[in-house]
Amino acid sequence: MSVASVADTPAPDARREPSAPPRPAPAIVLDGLVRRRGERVVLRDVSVIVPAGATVALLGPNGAGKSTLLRVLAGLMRPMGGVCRVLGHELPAGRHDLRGRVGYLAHEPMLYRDLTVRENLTHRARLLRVADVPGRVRELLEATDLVRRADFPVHALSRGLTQRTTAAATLLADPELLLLDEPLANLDPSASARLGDLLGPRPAVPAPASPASGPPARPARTRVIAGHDPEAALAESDIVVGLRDGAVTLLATPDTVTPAQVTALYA
Amino acid sequence: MPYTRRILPLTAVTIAIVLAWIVVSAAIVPTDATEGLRQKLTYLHPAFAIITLIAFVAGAFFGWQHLKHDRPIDDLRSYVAIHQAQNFCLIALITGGIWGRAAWGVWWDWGEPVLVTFLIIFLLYATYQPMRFAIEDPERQARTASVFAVSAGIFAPVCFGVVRLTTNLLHPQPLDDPASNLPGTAGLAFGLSVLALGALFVTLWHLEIVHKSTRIRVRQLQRKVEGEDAVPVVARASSPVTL
Amino acid sequence: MSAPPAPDASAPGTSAPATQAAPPRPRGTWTADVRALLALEWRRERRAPQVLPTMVLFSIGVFVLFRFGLQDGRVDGPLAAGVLLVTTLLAALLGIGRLWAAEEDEGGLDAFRLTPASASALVAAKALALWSFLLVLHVVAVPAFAFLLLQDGVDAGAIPTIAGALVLCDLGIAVTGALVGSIAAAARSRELLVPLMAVPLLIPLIALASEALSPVLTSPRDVVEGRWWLALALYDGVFLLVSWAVSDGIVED
Repeated sequence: MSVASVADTPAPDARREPSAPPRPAPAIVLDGLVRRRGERVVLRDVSVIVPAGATVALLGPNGAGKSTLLRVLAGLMRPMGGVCRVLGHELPAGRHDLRGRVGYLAHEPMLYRDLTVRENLTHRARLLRVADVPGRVRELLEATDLVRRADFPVHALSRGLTQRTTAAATLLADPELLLLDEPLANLDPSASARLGDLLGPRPAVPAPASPASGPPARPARTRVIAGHDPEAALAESDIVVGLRDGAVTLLATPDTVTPAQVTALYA
Repeated sequence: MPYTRRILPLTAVTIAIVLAWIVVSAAIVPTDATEGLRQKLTYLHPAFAIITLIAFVAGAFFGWQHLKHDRPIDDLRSYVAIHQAQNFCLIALITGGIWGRAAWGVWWDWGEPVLVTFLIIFLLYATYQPMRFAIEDPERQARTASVFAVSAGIFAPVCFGVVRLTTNLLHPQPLDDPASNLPGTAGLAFGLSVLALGALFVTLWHLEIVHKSTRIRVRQLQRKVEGEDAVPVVARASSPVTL
Repeated sequence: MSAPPAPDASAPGTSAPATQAAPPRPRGTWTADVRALLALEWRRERRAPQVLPTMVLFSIGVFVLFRFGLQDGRVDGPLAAGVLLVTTLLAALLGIGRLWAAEEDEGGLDAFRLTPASASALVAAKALALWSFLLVLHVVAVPAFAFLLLQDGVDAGAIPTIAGALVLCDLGIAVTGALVGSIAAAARSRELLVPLMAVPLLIPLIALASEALSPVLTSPRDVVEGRWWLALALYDGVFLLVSWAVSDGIVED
């Protein structure tokens, strides 16, 4: 497996900003990751290194293990073998330290259906220890164009609006690592564009010379996006990971991926 | 596989202790003049009750280990301890009923704290398997079962204390009673009964663990040969865990 | 569990207006989490009342049932304590079954596990929610019980004792219920498992509460022995400890 080749790929920020400070530690290090479900092996020997700030496109047919991998990275499922280090924390031991730093947008909305959009976001923000809860919630309601629906109960929302609420909830703590499972499903083109921007890459902000002189330091946002649209995935990613039956069968940069490789993945 | 080497020596030791127990309680201890044969039940029912309680607490201990260290073998240990203890619990209930019939002429007595406690504990642990096999995700199943094992294992002694507090003491305490006219060998027979059933329990526990892990190993080998989608030759439902 | 080192700024994303430096996030405390989670339970119950009305209506229905089942209907002493407590237990089973339903069905548990809040805070909030539901239930159900079934009514001097016994009994039911509810929630047949597991676990509690209640429901009123209070408190304490100890196992994957 060509782990080394990807590991050597400079982070996108480093490519764009030659004067940037020394490259930060990789956001994700997987080496021989194994996850079983009962006696079935769902992920086998998955080895990938993702530099901080990079975007990973996770491709593969249904049942390949994409969602399981995202859940493991989110700290929701324990790895059962191999090395799994996320944002510098070894999993499963360090999964508590990961909480609040990882945003996971799953298939299921993970919202209380009887509560309104605003109540859901406020509750989640409190548990995430967001500093200015009402301010942050208002900010995200505006960003996702949900202000008019903020006081609707979630069960009254369409699937697209629910997806937007879920995206807002994912971004509440401004996570360094975004794990997105088909983030743009159920969305109309305009919502899709808006959410695509919102969930998009974001460069690091270096620490200012003195605390008063500028915005505080902020790590680059690393993203792992699972999806079924290879073209869109290749367009916005820095690394392409193809999973098949729980194993990595494709690991490359988008410019080196051939259509034949993608076809083979889904064959 | 765990414990395979221990089976033979354990079985030998258990047979020896059980034989000693039978010989001592049947032949050496004199039959009580007033109580007659039913007094021999002293060497059966309390020992089953004691071992059952210890076994449920052991199940809780292994469940706790599983929650702490997340090793599937601990879940298997806990499962097997509880499974065997359920059988012992049922026997304790039945022998208790027989004893009650012999001693007081009734099969069941609500004033008898051991019997009542064991009924409650039996009812609680009877839900262990239905609960376990109603959870689809195997890891979640194991963890939830451990939560159950810990809660129920702590509940069992608490329940015993409460039932004892709320019932009128009827239960004979033949070994504590200073006025008891039992000969010294009776104490030996009682000790041997606890030891023998304890040894029996430990051996059965080992046997079931070896049996279950063998099945798991067979399935693993089959999967290796025939691929991940192989239909297992041995059924899945009876072994709850994976190693 | 400690809060992770928080990223310093908060911004919704690249398209949103850049935000100024946010103050460092306050250190989340356990009690603040419990408060937020308990408030959520009550808000959901207010928004779509399910558990409380069901428990209240069910209890009153059972009292009417006893009235006819016991033919003459009027009860006192141990029988009265038994009827009241068994009704409470049965009503509580309904609440226990719903307690973790949203966590399972609506993905609340996963959402919770992505936050730094501790597992014991969630279990504590669930137990507190059930406790408060049961206390509200008793505010309605005990007068109804006295009116419909109790032989000589309740004399005013007995009210503090009854309230004390019910508060301790409800706490035990709530803590045990939160535990049982979480175990059952993972299973397919949640509704069937809750009564199967909860009833044996709560038999000792009901037995103790019955001992504490029956002297004050007898006429003339009797004094409750101190050991029953102690035993009730101990039972609650044991299950509080157990729930706290296994809370990680309930919430974690």
